[in-house]
Amino acid sequence: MNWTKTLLTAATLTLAGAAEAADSFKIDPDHTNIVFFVNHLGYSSMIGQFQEFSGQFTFDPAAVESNAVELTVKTASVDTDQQARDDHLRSPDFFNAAEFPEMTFKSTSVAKTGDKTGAITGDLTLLGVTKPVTLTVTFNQLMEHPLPQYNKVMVAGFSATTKLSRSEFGMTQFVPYIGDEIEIILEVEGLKM
Amino acid sequence: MDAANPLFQAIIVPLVLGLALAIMLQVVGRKGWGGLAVLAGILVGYVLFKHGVPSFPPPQAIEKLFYLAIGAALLGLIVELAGAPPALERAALVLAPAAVVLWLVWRRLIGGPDLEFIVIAAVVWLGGTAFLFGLRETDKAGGAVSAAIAVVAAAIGFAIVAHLGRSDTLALHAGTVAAAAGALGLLGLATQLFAGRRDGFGLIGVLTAGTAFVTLAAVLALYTPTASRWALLLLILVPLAGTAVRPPRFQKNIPGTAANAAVAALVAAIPALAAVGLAYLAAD
Repeated sequence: MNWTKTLLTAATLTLAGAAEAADSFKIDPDHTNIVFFVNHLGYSSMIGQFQEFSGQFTFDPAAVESNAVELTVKTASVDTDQQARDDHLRSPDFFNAAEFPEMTFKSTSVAKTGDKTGAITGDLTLLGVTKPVTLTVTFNQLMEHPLPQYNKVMVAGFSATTKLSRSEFGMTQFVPYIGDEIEIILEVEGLKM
Repeated sequence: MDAANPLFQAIIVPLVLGLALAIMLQVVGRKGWGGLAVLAGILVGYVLFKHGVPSFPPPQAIEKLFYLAIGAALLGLIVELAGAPPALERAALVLAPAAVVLWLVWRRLIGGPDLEFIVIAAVVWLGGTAFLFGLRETDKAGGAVSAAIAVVAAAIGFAIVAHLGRSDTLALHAGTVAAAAGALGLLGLATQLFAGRRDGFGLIGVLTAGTAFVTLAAVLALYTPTASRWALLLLILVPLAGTAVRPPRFQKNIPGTAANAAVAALVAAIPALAAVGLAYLAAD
């Protein structure tokens, strides 16, 4: 018996089966929000968001650990509803958008923590520095889009949060006056590809 | 002013530390190495203000300032130890800004040619070289006081241009360079007034302060699109102004020395103020 051939065939079938079970979704930028909160001098939390991003994820509710997500955010799209502050955030003081036009997140593992909750750990690359970050995720729903113009496309929706220390990525300016800890909230919808 | 205040970290501490180290170098008979006090001021200011030593290799352009300042000081020291032959000195003044520009742009250029970016990089190199040559001539002609005035005027002008261009970090780094150079200038003034001796920055000081300034200028020109690049070009003229104008030399007594310093400051201030004015008009 040719064991090598048998093993290769089994592996190929397994991978094909896994790929088939996990659907791929493209993140819908029109219905996805990436919002962050940062402490401002102890008075309040300043709220900002990113307006330009793209990404995709695979989702198989029956095999959560096999899911994956990739997200790319244009750092120049930072928006705090004030032009002068946004220009400052794009400068070398903070996001350094001219030198680092993108920040990326790529998952490395997914763990199920509850019936509709999970933890996605991945590598966040910001300002040329890559560090692991874990998102606490809630699965909202997966169903056909109800509006006719969407042609019954399957849509998956998630909510996620995380906290990170910006100084770990080299964004040290004005710490502690401007908070080091950044809270991030993602509300994501993905359209099945 | 508390220790966490960025102004304290970026300006006061480098000034005090730089002055202390410069005095110590004088006492141990190493006044020719006064430029190392400039280096110490720049590095300490960086570490305090940026909350630590940058990783190596540093991912961000502005973090390269730390290592470029060290490299420039080492280059100056090597040339000084080799007897500072003129050809080697000129080569160092050309090599330092070239190293700055190459290290700041190589990764971006790998991603694909960008003509505008290459042109800006070339202008920064040429301008930086002119700045260093001008600073060296100013130091040779007028000593540490004149050199410090040139660096302080250029750095303060840069700080305002950077602030108007929305980068307070670059502004504070410029403050550190001004403080570190100012420390050596203060000592130079004291030795001139009370010891009748005119010490200079030396090649180490010129290369360290000049390369630090060129690094900041490169980051502003290449990676801060909201800042005025034309204003930056005017700042190159600051050390060149002193060599071009040739202000009158007063007597070498206390009033004469003070008058020389005042004239040098006035001459250096003209292009710096012009740069600030241009940046103000260009700002949103």
